Amino acid sequence: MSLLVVGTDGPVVRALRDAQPPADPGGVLAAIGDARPSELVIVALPAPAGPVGAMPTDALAELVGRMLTPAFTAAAALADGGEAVRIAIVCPAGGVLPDHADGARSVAAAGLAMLAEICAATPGLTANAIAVADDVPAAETAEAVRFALAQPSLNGATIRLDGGRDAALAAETRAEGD
Amino acid sequence: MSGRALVTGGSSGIGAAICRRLAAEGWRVAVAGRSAERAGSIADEIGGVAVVGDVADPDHDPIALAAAALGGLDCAVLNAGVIADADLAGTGADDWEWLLEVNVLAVHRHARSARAHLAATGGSILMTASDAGVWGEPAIAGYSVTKRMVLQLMRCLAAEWGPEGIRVNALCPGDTAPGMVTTTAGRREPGATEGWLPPPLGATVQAGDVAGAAAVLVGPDAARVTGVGLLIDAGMRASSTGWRIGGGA
Repeated sequence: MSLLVVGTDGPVVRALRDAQPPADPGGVLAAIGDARPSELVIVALPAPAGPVGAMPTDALAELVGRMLTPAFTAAAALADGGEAVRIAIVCPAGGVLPDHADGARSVAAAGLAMLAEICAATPGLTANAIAVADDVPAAETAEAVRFALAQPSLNGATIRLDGGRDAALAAETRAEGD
Repeated sequence: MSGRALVTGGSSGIGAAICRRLAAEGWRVAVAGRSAERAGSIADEIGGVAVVGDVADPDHDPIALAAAALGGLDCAVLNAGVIADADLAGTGADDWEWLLEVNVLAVHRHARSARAHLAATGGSILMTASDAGVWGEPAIAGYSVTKRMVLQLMRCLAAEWGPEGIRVNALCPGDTAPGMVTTTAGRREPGATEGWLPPPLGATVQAGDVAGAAAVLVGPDAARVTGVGLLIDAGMRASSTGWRIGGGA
């Protein structure tokens, strides 16, 4: 069994790599090419990028190119019917319930969540997404990743790791008289 | 309704049906498409104007052209899209970039271009997503991913631009005839639907069904509706086994 971790560098990546040699975060295909992993973790947690409507399209393209395209490329490369691969994709929480103040990341993260669902329905792949709020400790995110990789029947799910922030509309957001 | 609307991808399939429906309800419509002949034909038929260009070209701004031709804009139907008939393994880098450019980035670019026009008129944006964006289809992997992104873009813009009076919604059509499945070159003969699994309602979705939903979402009866992705799929996504009702395996 081999675990490969790629993606935006940061505490989550470092927490997952503590027991293995690091892979080049930018060279996902090259990293896969060295040795087909049995487990692949893709971490796509860039810094918040602000509202998507205020962002020039070129900047959105660049963000999507960093967050989503490497993950899509990696998944496509592994969807060749070869030995089974378990995939965990770590993305911002806005990929589930969008946060319009962080809309640009939310759009790319939604694509990542769908990518996990598509992978889950692809022969040879098992995949889940872990949608993480920015204030979740890296060690906790890493533990959720290990859980997602270890559960044989967990496939195509998006696990929200946000402390329940988006579980229901917060009471204080309701206007008087509602 | 006497508004002014632009419909990208308006020269065929669902887009053409939306153009016809809006014109029938009194809208002045700019029909945007890559083919001058096709866009002009629909425009002539409905008394509208044609806007010719490729949405994948960042220098082509159908919003500005339509607003100039119509004297302003009350509605932008961002309907143009492309599909790659490929599963995950079969979706190459070029196809992926193409899907992203047309289905997501062009929609974002045109929505931003429409913002000032629509803020001035209290208008709305209607995006064409897909039922595949709600519940993905492995046979069209890249398409499914991009359509989920369209839905998230729609929701974000609905919240972000709502205070300016701009509504943003999306259509999520299922298999539709005529539509992308029957009009995209190389997929099927135009109009051919043999082999399609009947949805729970039994009948295949028609382009006119989608156009009817579009007319409601951009019209005054939906004045308080924003951030909605409306499935028009005859029930296909209503149940995890809905697609089997018509005899699928």
